[in-house]
Amino acid sequence: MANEVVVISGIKETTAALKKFDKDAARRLNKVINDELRLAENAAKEQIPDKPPMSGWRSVAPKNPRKTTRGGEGWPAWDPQAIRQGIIKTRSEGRVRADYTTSAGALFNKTASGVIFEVAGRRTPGQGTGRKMIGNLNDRFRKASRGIWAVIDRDRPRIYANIRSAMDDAQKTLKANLNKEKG
Amino acid sequence: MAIGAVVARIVTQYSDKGSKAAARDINKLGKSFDKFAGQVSKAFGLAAAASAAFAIKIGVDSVKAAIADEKSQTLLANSLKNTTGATDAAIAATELFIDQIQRTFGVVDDDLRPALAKLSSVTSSLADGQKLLGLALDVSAGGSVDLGSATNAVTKALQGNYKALRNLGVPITDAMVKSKDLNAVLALTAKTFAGAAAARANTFEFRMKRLAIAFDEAKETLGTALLPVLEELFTVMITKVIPAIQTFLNENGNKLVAVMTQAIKAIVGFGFAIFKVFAFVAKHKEVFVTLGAIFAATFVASKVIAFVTAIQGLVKAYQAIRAAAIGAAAAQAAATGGISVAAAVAGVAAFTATLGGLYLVTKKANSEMNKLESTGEDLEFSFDGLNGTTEDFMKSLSGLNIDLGKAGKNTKALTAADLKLIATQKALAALRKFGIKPTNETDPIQLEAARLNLVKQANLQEAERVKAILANLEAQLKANDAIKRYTDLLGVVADSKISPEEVIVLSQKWGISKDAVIAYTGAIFAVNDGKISTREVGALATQWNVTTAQAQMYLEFFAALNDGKLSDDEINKLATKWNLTNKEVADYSKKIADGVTPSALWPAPGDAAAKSWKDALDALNKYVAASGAKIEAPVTPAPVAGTPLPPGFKPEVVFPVSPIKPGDSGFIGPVAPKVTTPAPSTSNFTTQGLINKLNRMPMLADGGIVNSPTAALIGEAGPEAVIPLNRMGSMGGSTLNIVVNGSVTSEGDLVNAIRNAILQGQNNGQAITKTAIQL
Repeated sequence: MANEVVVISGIKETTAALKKFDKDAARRLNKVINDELRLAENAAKEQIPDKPPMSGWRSVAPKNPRKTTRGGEGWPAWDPQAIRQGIIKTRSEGRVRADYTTSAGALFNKTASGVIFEVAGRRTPGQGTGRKMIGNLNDRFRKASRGIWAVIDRDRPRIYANIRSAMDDAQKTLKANLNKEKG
Repeated sequence: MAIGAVVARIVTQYSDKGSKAAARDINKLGKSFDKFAGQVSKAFGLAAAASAAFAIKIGVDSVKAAIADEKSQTLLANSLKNTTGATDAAIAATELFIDQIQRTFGVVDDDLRPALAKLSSVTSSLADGQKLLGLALDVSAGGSVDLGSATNAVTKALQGNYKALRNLGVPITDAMVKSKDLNAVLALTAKTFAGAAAARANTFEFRMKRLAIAFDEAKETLGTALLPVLEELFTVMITKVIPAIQTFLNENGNKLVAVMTQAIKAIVGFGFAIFKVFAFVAKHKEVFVTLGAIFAATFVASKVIAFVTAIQGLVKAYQAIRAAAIGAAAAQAAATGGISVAAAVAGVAAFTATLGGLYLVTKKANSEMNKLESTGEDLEFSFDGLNGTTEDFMKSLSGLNIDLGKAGKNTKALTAADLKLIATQKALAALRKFGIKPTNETDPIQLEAARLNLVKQANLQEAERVKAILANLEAQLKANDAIKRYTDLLGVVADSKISPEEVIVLSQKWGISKDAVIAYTGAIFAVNDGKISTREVGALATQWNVTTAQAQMYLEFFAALNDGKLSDDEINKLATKWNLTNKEVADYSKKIADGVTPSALWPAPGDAAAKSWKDALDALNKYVAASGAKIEAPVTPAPVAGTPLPPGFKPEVVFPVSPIKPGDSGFIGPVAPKVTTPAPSTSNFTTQGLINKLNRMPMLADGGIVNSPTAALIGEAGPEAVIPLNRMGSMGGSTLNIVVNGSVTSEGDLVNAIRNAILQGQNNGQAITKTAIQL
């Protein structure tokens, strides 16, 4: 998972201001952002394999799960459909982060099996069977950040460029309208 | 966001939420900086204070150490000079030797110098003493004893006593003891403890001691440098400060005594003043009770407390002088070398500060005494006649307390008495106002009478007040009724006319007669425009069958009563205009307000006769009704007696009210109704004729039988029963058969027989009237 963060200033303000002068321009900006998010979402869903990543990863939930696993829920079943449905895009601002930024567009990976597939081995190489599982995942796919983050790491330059370009256009449009308003 | 979900931010932005959070964090950071700065400042302050304290301690300790070292050096030098004849150079070299020894072996010079002095003295050689000091150091280290004990042991060996060394572990044989070979013993001792001092000096403990010695030496060096300065301070203290203080005491001691004497005199004088004042007040307490309370509250509370406080301050100040004097003695001792310099300085400083405090306290006491003195003058109580002594004053204090207590009690009692007196005075004044002159204002009976009179007056006033309130309420209710009536009137005259039916409805609704309704209606429309015209008065006078003046008067009263009551101005105005007394005005007002019609208020001549005639007709109607006669048919005069009733007689009298319209004669104002006054009668009856007819009517008080309709008077002499002959039995009568047994020879026998029979019937349950029993 990359630590790089692309910060674009003024998306919210520009959109809000643009709606007063040129709603089409605001829609175009939003459309670019939403399209990029949708592309990323779809690409992330494609990262989810139809078959379980490993042969022992069952596709049905355990009837009598071990109570010591995941709070008693047992090991999550590999349901590629559910995992893909759990990958969604959002434009919610969310909480303010430590760098005083909020989200302008993000992907969620919400299912338990999807999260395991995404982050297994990210912090520690694991121990025992876990270590072996992480090793297999790393060999068959890639190291941790195998789902949504893999897509973002891969497509970040394009996403940034497109959104940046749309923002520039929107700001130009806004500036033109403001100048027109000033006379 | 789902719990446990992974979130991958694609695009982030700075938003206002982030800006606000940043601002909060910046503020928080600023506060943290401020807090940190405060903490650092505080820490630095503590460090600075600690450093200062440490510096002071070092300074004090160095001076003390320098003084002690200087003493030790002096004693050693003196001993060496006396015992070995050492020169100053040798003594100075010895100091260097001692300094080196102490730094090397970790033994303080204060221990080395006595040991060296002792050993040099015993050997009479400074060089031998220095050598033996080294041996003593080894013995001390090897034998684990202090240097003094080791030195004593060596010294004793020099004197031929080896026991101490043997006790310390030197293997001195008996042969050696017997041979008294000092060199052999010393050699054996040196061999036994060889290197012990050096070895001990290298231990951690003694390395620390050596470090401490080095530090102490540094301090002594510092102290030695400070000593000249302190010596100069001593010189100033001895030659300047102490003599100055002594001079101050010598010169001001008498003044201090004088101040104290004055204070004591003031206390005594002031006590006499208090005694005099309160004695005077107690004597004239009835007059000065208030003054006494004020005096006790203000004078005693403020002035005396302030003075006592000042005296207490003086006592404390003199106590402090005593303590400071001890400090001064300490300073003097220090100046002569008997105590540390620090204590001396502190003592002098405390003494000086105490003197300053004493001055301030004494000044305050003098000020308070001056205030007291001036206060005494203001009160103008003379003390000239007072020749008592202090003992007398003290004895009187207990009595004074009692008097004060009495004064306090009397104050409360007299306050109540004052209130009663004031009430009595008021009562007497009230009595005088009513023309009552009390013969004796202290007579309890008269006072009680006056008080009761006051109470009565108050009750009367209260009653008047309540009456006024009720009158006002009644007037308000009447005003409300007037408003309702006016509203009703507006409703019924909406069609610009008032019908007889409407008059009847209003009469029933208002609870007054139809005449009153008509009068009220005419009046209300006459006065509702605020002025009474001559035309309206004339019209109403005609309608009401009164004179124009009476109609005018009625309308003016009516207008004045439009608010339900009469004001004083209105009463005076009406009384003046109509030449009435206030009571007559009130009577007229009440009647008019009660709905009395003008015709009833001022009955026309002959109305009384008409009324009697009407009453007679009413009686006749009742009679006809009681007799069961049909009133539709003309009544045939009774054949027995009386005069035939007039033709056209009807048992009921109707007073028609014809509706009027605008433009009709008598119409007043836009909606004023035309009212037809009741016509007395159109018959040919006269009053006297009616009276004659009544006088000729048969009266049936003695009974009689009537076989045809007859106008007659019944009940004129008491209750009568009129019973149809054919219904005698059914209407309560019964047949009583009386059988008389035996002969009846006289009327009395017959009466008795009948009475007995009636009583017998009564006993059998028959209803027998009392009249019958009274036969």
